[in-house]
Amino acid sequence: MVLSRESEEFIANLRMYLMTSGKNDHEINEIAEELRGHLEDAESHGKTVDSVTGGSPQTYLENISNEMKTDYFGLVRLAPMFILLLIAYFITGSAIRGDLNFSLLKLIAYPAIALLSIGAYIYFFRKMSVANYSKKKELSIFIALQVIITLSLMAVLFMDIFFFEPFYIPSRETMWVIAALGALVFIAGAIWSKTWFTLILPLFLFGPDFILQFLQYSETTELIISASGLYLGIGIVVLILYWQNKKQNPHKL
Amino acid sequence: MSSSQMLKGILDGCLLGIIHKGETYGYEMIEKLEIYGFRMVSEGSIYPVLMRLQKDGFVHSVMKESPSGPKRKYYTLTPAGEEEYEQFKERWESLSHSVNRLVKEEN
Repeated sequence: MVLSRESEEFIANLRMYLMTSGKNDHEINEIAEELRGHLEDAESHGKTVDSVTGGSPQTYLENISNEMKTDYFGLVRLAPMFILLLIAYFITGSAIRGDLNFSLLKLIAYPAIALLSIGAYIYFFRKMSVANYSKKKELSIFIALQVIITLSLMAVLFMDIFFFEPFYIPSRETMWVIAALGALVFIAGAIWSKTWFTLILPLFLFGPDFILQFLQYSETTELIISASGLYLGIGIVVLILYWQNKKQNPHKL
Repeated sequence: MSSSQMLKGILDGCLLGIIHKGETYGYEMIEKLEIYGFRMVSEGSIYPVLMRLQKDGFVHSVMKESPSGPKRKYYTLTPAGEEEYEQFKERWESLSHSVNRLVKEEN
């Protein structure tokens, strides 16, 4: 049976809220499925999602969350792969282009920005799952967040170029080894998370740079090809995700 | 104090009572509670309680496909749950007896 848009949103929010609270996947699926069943019965009797939440999704989600134990072991298990992927995203591109170097600033600032942005994303995901913002407001928050992160990364990059000396510059051969290790991490990450876009995204991010290493173009042309490859890639990924979503939830669109 | 606040403390016992009468699932529990005259429960409030009862080992649950409706989680009482229900009945008996005596004396 097809659920109303409000109920689908409630189930999605429930999953998001519990996931960002560090609850166990299996338990999340169980309660989500049980509530979906309840909502199907309730809607076929003409009731709305308010009959479940009592009108306050926030209080209701908190009540559910309080009855589930936080899965710290699950979180700890996720951490190593997650950290490896983050490092791979940061250094694979430079390693392919041959401009990889390590400075004190990078070593401190990049992990700090990464942790802060993850924290900010989790914070807003949680807030959105209970607050019932409009789609427009959700989108603006994400864009603002993304702009702030990009700007701080750029600030670090500029400060690094002008004020910091790298303490280690790997040889070209070492960089290729690092790039290969990065590729391995992306493949492992895709297998581990069983999602194809974790592999496709780095392919578009770093693929153009890789190919350009073997072609002789001027630097400006390289930059244009590299950037347009990236945006084309992201565009294709978003489009495919949209189609997949449409196929799975035809009533939502 | 609203009646739903009063019910909060004894909803655990009431759900044990409903499940005691035979294997059932969440939505059906609501319908059964309504037959007994409980109308103040916000329907979703039974699920955190069911989770707690399961955690405490008082109920056992199993997911079943239903031929017409959605997938449903069916609950039954465990021996510990049966015992807990017996104790709830005794506690309720003495509590309601005391409250009744107090309230009737005032009238």
